[in-house]
This record gives sequence, C-alpha cells and structure tokens, in this order.
Amino acid sequence: MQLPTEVVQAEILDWWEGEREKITQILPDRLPALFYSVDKVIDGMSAADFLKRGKFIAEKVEPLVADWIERTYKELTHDIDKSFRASAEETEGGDAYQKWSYGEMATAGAAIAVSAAPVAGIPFFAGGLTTVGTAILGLTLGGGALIPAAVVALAGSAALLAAGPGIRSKAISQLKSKLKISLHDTITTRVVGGAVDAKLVSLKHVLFNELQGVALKRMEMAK
Amino acid sequence: MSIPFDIPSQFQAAHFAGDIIRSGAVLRDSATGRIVAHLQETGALQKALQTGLSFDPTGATGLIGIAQNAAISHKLNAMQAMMGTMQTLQIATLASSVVGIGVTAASTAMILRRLDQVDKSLGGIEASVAGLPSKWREMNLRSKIVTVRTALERLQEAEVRPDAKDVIAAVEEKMSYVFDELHSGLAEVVIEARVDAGLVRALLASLALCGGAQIKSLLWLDMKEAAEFRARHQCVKLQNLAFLMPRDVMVDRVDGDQKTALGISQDFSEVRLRIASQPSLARTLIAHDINGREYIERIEQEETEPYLLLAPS
Repeated sequence: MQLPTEVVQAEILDWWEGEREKITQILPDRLPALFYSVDKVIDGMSAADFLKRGKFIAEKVEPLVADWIERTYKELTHDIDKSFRASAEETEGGDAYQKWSYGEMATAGAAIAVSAAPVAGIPFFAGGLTTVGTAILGLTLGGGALIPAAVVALAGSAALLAAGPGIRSKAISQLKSKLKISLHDTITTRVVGGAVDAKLVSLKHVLFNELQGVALKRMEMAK
Repeated sequence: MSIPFDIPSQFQAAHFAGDIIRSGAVLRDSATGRIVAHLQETGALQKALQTGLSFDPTGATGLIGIAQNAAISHKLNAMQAMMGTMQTLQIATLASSVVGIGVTAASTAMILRRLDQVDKSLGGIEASVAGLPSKWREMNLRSKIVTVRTALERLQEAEVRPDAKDVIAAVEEKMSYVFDELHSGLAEVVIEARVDAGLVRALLASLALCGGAQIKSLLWLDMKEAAEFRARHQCVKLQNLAFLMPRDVMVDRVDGDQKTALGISQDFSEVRLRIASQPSLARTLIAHDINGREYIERIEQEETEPYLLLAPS
C-alpha cells in the first residue's frame, strides 16, 4: 500500500472509533441473558443459603459471571481481530501484520498508551489491580466484587430462621428480589463500567484498552 | 508553468466500478491503495456557492442548496454521484463544509463567508446556552475565532498589497498560535460531562479553517516543506483530539443524542481525513516543482470545473 502515513492514521482512527461503538452497543444488549442465568440461580437459593450467602455467591454466581465475561471477551476479541485484519488489508495492505496477533498488537500498543495516557485519558494500563477474578491479558476484572455487594444487600437476614414459615417465605422472596437487583447493578458495573468508580476495571474497559493499544500500534507502524 | 490538472469526470467510470475510492482530499486505487489524484475545489465552486447554495456551518441542519449556474450544477451533481456513495457526506456538504477540499477552500473570501457563519452560530449558542463550560469563558475562545477572521481578512487584503509576503507571513504565524489555542480549548470542552453540540461543531469548524488557512498561507509563500511539516503537526493534534471524543463517549456528553453524536463524529472524521491529505499534496507540489502561489492562483481562477485533480508524483 502506498497511502500517505497521515491518511492511513486517519483511517485507523475511524476504525478504532467504529469498533468502540460496536463494543458499547453489544455489551448492554447481552447483559439480560446473563441476568436471566443469575436470577435462576438466586431463585434456587434456600433459607440456609442466605445464611452463608457469601459462600453461595462465590461458589454459584461468581463462576457463572466470570465464565460469561471470559466467553464474551473471547468472542468480541475474535470479532475485533477479524475487523482489524479487514481494515488493515484495505488501509495498510494485506501483509502488514502477518506476524502479529491481535493480543501482541494490544500489548505493544499498551506501552504507547501509557506514555499517551494524559492525552488519551485512559487510566487502566498503569493501574495496579489486586482483586481476584478473571484475568485477561494481565488485567483483573474486579473479581469478588459480587460478594460485598450481596452482603450489604442482605443485612439482617440472619433473623430469617427464627421467623414462621409464611413470614419466612415472603421474606426470602423479598431478599431474593433485593439480591437480584444488587447483583444486576454489580454485574453491570463489571461488564460496562460505572460512573461511581471510574477506576474499576470492567470488561468494556479491557476491550477498549486493547483496542486503543492496537490502534496506537497500527498508527505507529504506519510511520 | 502549466499545472498538470485532470478533471474528475475522467475517474467516474473507475469509481462506479469500485476501483477508485475517496479518502478526504485524495482519490485512491482500491486495490493497491496508491493515490490516483489529489482532489481540489476551485474558484468555479466558489461562484456556485456564492450565487446559489445556502449552507449551515454547524452541520446541524445539513446543507441543501441548488446552484443557479446550470453548468456548475450539472458538474456538482456528477461529483455527488461520484462521492456520495462512498462517504457519508454528500457533495453539497463537501462543498459547503468549513474545511475545503484540497488546499483549504478555494478562496479567502469563501473561508471568510464560512467563518462569518460560524461566528454567528457561536453568538447564538452563547446567548442560548446557560451552562457554557467554564473553559469557554476562561479561554475566551470566541475571541480566538475573531482573531482567525481578522487574520483571514488580512490574508485577503494581502493579495492587493505590495508587501503581500510580509502580511501573509505575519498572518500565518498568528494562525499557528491560534490553532494551538483552539485545539487546547476544544480538548477542554469535549471532556466536560455535558457538552453543547453546536459549540463543539463551531470549534471544530474554526480549528479546521484555521489549519487550512495556515497551509494555504505557507503554500502561497511557496514554503512547501513548511506546509508539509505544519500539516503533519496538525494531524497529530487532531489525532490526540480524536482519542478524547470518540463517538460512544460523545453520545453520553450530548445527552444520549445518537444522531448528533454521529454527526459530530462524521464531521470530525472528514476534517481529519482532509487535513491528513495535505502533507501528501505538499510533497506532490515539491515533486512536480510547482510554485505554491501559482497553484493557489490557478485553482482560484478556474471558472469551468468545480473540482480539479492533481496526479501525485
């Protein structure tokens, strides 16, 4: 390809912007399916499970969410990689990135992103994340965040066992509803990010960061 | 010297066959990526705009106009068919957009007309938007736009002055500072949690005009290497700005208005692509040993073709 560097870079920016928009639209569209699965697990909770709710969520809900995030990450990354190859073939020429995987491009671009962070306004590459959870390209997706949220949502539930069957059933139903709402909020934050804590790494942020890394690396290689 | 221009109709068949696509102000071979020609609007287009086409510099309404000159109108329609299918912007918008195709707009008069519209729009925005970003007031960005207009008026006047070179050199220097100030201001405005779409569009328009006028000034001075260098500097600035205002983020900042965010994104993409074409144009002029001032005067004097094409070296 013999397009001028500056035109190539402008085209890459258009690609980057389009892929960001796709990620932004796809993730919220897929959340209801995950909520449905989580809700089914919560519906199956017994009164005893509520007493050990932290353990229950860690064992039954967390793996479900982590698995969903990982599968969604892989699927979207695969789609973006395909889009990247198609865009690169049209803009830079078919063989420009033969020896580069999408992940390698993202990693190489991350270094550029760190140096460009004040301009790009992306805090995630430099952030030290210590929570346990699904690790994707060295970043951790807020693992364990479901548990504290659930505990807060269910404060006082220890009194359940002391109540009569009718009251207990109604109370459990109410607790399940509250728990679902709380989990939906927390899952949403883990998947698409939240306004409250912009530093909390979400799936969307990971995808955005990798995408930006790839875009920056492409722009650098176009020089 | 004679400048080896081609006319766009030569490429129409190739375009319809999908062999040629447009990226900003260049036409390129879709198979090889090689540049086929630099696209340049001319004085004929300016006349068509002055006599028949209305335009909205903020892009809020899009442009709808009819050229009164039948011959020009026919050629514009032909160009629209050529360009409209590959890019979101139609020829009417291209013709009226604040940043011209090629070496900025065909003439300073057209740029001034466009900038007047931008300034009027800004006046309306200032009057109607209660919560303008604090940076807007602090940086006094509207006064920067007035500075651009004044500089452009001096650019226009320079053509009839004996000290034209000195005037244009001074204008170019002033534009260079104002471009960076407008860029900084825009970077501050677009990261606010809520932005006014009209304001962003007006600032983008001003930035594009200022940048385009710089390149035109440098070419008029026949400082083609400097024009290439400056255009590359502008590209980097626009790239940095692009990372601050991707479409998905702008949707949130314009209160979830997807259509408006898309419009801003498309405008900005077009501005980036057109300015990205400038370094290559400067290199082509260098390679063909074309005098920059002659190039500008030739395109301004063109009365028949609304667009001309210049083959790369």
